[in-house]
Amino acid sequence: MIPLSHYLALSAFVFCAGVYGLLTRKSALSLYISIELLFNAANLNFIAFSRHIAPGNPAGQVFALFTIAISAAEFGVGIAIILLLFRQLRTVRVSEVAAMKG
Amino acid sequence: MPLGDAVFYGIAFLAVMSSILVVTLDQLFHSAVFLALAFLAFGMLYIQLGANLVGVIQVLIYAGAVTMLLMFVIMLTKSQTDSGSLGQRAGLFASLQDFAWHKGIALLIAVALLGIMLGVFLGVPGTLPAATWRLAVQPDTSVLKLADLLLGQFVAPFEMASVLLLAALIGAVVLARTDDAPKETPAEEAARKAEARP
Repeated sequence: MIPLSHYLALSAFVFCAGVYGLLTRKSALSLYISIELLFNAANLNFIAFSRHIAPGNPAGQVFALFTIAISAAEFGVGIAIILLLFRQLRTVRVSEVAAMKG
Repeated sequence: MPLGDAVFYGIAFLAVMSSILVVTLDQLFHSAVFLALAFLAFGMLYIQLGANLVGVIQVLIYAGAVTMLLMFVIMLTKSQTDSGSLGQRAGLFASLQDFAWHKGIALLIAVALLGIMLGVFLGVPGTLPAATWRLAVQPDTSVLKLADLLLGQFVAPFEMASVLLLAALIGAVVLARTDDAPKETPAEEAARKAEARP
């Protein structure tokens, strides 16, 4: 038997690793990688709570599926924006992208 | 410690270590590989929690599609390292060696957040059953329940998610498209003119 709090602690560890990455990384792609870590930590919480509170009713899994779909949509658009950024400015480092136009 | 519990702590260790490596490694490609490892660990945890479908989708979409797309974009944008340095500083822990004050502040913020979250989470009561290893013995009905929910109670968000995915698909194509048509070479131009001539 594993305490529910251990699942939550694991997701907290991964979430904080993602936050550290968001604060320190310089490339837009690294920021994306960190955001994916945040998404996964949140998903683990959804599924652990779903399993704990209502073992016969997988509504939490439905939320996790929607999170995955939305993060996939966000990822596709974001990757397209990063590619466009690289084509225009020849860089993906967010500190060098100070202006939206010109 | 029972086998199921030991498996959980092993996977948890794998997930934490690989996510720490993901945010500290300087080489973006190494980051992406460890990200795939973290995704796989999370997929195993989902399956251990009885969410088989979500676990399989996690492997298919995150460990498969997202990681592959990420690697393609890393190569397309020629971003080899996160710090932008090439060659001499690109060791395994290069980003730990050039420790700067802003990283210290970021680490402080992340550890403070972790302390707050652990303080709240470790007080949460309740236990979860460990892995039961009964998948091969009796048929798994959780996917049926999930389908009932997705196409019953949650059918409106389900359709909205499909519209969102379509919109994101079109948006990504429009954004990443190049406007200029490929220029034809002189040989092609001559061939076209020769074809147009009666």
